[in-house]
Amino acid sequence: MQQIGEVVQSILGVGAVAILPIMILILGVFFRMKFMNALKAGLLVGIGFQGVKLVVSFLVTTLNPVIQHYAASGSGFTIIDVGWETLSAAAWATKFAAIFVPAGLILNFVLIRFKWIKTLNVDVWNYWHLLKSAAILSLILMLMGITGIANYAISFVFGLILTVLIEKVGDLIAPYWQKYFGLEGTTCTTILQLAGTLPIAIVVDKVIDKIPGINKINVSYEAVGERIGEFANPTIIGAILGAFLGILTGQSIAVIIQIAVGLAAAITLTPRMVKLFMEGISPISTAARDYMIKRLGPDAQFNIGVDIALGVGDQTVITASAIMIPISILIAFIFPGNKFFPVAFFGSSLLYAMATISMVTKGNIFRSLICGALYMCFCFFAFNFTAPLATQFVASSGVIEVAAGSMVNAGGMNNFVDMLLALLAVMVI
Amino acid sequence: MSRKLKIVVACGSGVATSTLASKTVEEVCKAFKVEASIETCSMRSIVDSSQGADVVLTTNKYDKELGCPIMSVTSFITGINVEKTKQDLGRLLQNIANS
Repeated sequence: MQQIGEVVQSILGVGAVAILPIMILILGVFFRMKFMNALKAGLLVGIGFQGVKLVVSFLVTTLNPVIQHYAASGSGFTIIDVGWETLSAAAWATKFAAIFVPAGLILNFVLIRFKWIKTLNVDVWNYWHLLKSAAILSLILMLMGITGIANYAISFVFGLILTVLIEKVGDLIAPYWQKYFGLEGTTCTTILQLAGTLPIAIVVDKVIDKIPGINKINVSYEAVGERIGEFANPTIIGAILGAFLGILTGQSIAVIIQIAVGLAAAITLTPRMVKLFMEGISPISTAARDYMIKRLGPDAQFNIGVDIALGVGDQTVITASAIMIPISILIAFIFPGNKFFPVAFFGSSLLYAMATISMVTKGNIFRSLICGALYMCFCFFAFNFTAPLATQFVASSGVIEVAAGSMVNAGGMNNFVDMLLALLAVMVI
Repeated sequence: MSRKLKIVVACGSGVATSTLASKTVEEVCKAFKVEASIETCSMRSIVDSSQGADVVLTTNKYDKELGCPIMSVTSFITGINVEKTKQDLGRLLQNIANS
């Protein structure tokens, strides 16, 4: 018996690299996948995790000269944008991830059966947002001195409450989602949008409604230019911003080129690593979805919760995002006390936010840009406020080691739930 | 003799949803005995990536025309009407491969 305990301990000691594949294997088998397929999925997830680690480490090393410059001067951009992919890797490394997903799905199933909810929350990939917030709460509780079973129990329940939250909001926005994006029978269950971008966009849109004159302006993307969206290629953006940061911090030509290419590489490679991750999770997601649909029976009424990424095909969204990039950079410089310089954020995070905003403004680019600019102000405040928490979260997950004097953050922390957690942290620690 | 096709799967950011869809597209190719190479791209670069492709599959709504056939495979993500889409896709691919 003791030997088994020791083996388990040593596996846990290796960290996420060992735990993740095993977790996915267990989940896969639970959803009736063939053992070999579940094993393959588990390995892919482990590989994806390693891949993200590698690329983010490379990103941090590349940006080192820039960070050193700002650390030495005591101000400026000392929070590195490591991309939402890093946060997702850290989230999946959470110890209770394997139990959380089935628990969330079972709860969802029960709620739909009893007709309290209509949203089928089977986007397993996006459970990472919930795991992240639950893991952050667990961190805070630990710093407060609450450990062990109590810690896990509270964080777990918190995570489950979040699943119910997104399912409820999913129900509310379903009609608007379906109407604007034309995706029948679905709704959006990406909490970052529902608890971040959406409320802000709705409020700003309503306010604009009240302003005479401005409320009549409507620009469609055809007027702006059809191919603008293509300039927002992440690789090019990464190179330009890298060179920009290098020039800004007075680096030599050689270093400027190094940073430009390095950043372009990181912003291009991170999504590819996450793709591997996704290849591991997607069969689980599909298996879970089919399992739930079968069990609910043919008479059940539900909307399938999907990722905000499905709303990004819209040309309005793509065009608006491209224009938002220089606007966001400008805000990065003028927002008082801002230490976060967005780079990876422009890879895809901005696109997702603009998709939500476009849904609210019904494709009005003019309004989308105003919402977008105000949303970015919120984001910069959020990124700075949640940076210490995000840094601890990512460091404790084993994804990267953060050097002293610098912090990390990324798209994913800019929502009200994590802001409340950061507020809690400030109050109790 | 049917030839090897180049399939491009486009999605929002070229990462998450296109990976899910590609897996199902692979299954369809196997089931309908169509040889194909599958690439993913983001909706941003759909016009460029569609050059030289035999067919473009999207997970989002796309209303414009490209130089090749386009088909929506959103159902591979949502799970609604998957079987029908698989059949439609399989037949489309076979038509293109044999043309």
